Amino acid sequence: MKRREVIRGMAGASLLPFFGALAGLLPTTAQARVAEAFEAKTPQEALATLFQEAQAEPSEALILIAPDIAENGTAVPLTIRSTLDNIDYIAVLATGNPLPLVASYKLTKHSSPPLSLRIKLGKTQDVVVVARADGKLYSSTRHIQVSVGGCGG
Amino acid sequence: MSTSTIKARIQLGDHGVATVRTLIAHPMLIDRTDPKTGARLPAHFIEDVEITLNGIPAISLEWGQAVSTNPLVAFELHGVKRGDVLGIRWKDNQGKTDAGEFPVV
Repeated sequence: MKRREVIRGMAGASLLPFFGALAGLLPTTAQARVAEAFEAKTPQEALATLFQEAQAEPSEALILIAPDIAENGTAVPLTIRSTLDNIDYIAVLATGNPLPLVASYKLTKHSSPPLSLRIKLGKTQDVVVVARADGKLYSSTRHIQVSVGGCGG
Repeated sequence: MSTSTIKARIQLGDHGVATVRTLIAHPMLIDRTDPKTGARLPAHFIEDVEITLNGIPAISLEWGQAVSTNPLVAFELHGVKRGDVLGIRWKDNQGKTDAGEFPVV
């Protein structure tokens, strides 16, 4: 019994470096990359960090619902709806904020839009939501006027 | 045990689709300088939130500094039935964390 375990152990050990290399490619780098994306100073940089060169094309299948005028820039309600199915990743970017990437969702088959969240907007700007479904990127943009502090109008 | 910072309201609709609204009590402070003393005040915000259904990860969110104070988050879960347990856990950039279990009634 003992010898077989030793051999199986050795066989297992020899395979480890191979799997180690593979694992290095997949989840861990994804995790590090996302943290980096939150440091990105421009939306393009954040998107490049998250999705490499893939381009998101605006689509009606992804809808970002947000107020046109937000009286209070510290709690702007966003709702993301979509008719796309099996979305696996959604990123929310406030293009005018110092750090544009606001939130990223990793969805599974248990979860789907509509999703809603309240975010802080520094000034009047475009908010972009990018969703990845079946490897294709879709985006939806809303221009939100922020009258910081003062009441609107 | 300390009062939980997470409140959740789960509405179980038909076809096992549940709409969940959660409110997390957290200051969500951004990097800023104190106007009077000019000292740099460090950011203190939730970095990631894990939402699990009966222990299986359903959504994992990552947040930057621009999420509002006391974040209110709503999402939809599929394949939910009465008696399931929804788990919500958050971790912030100062290492603090909290978790809550919410039965689906």
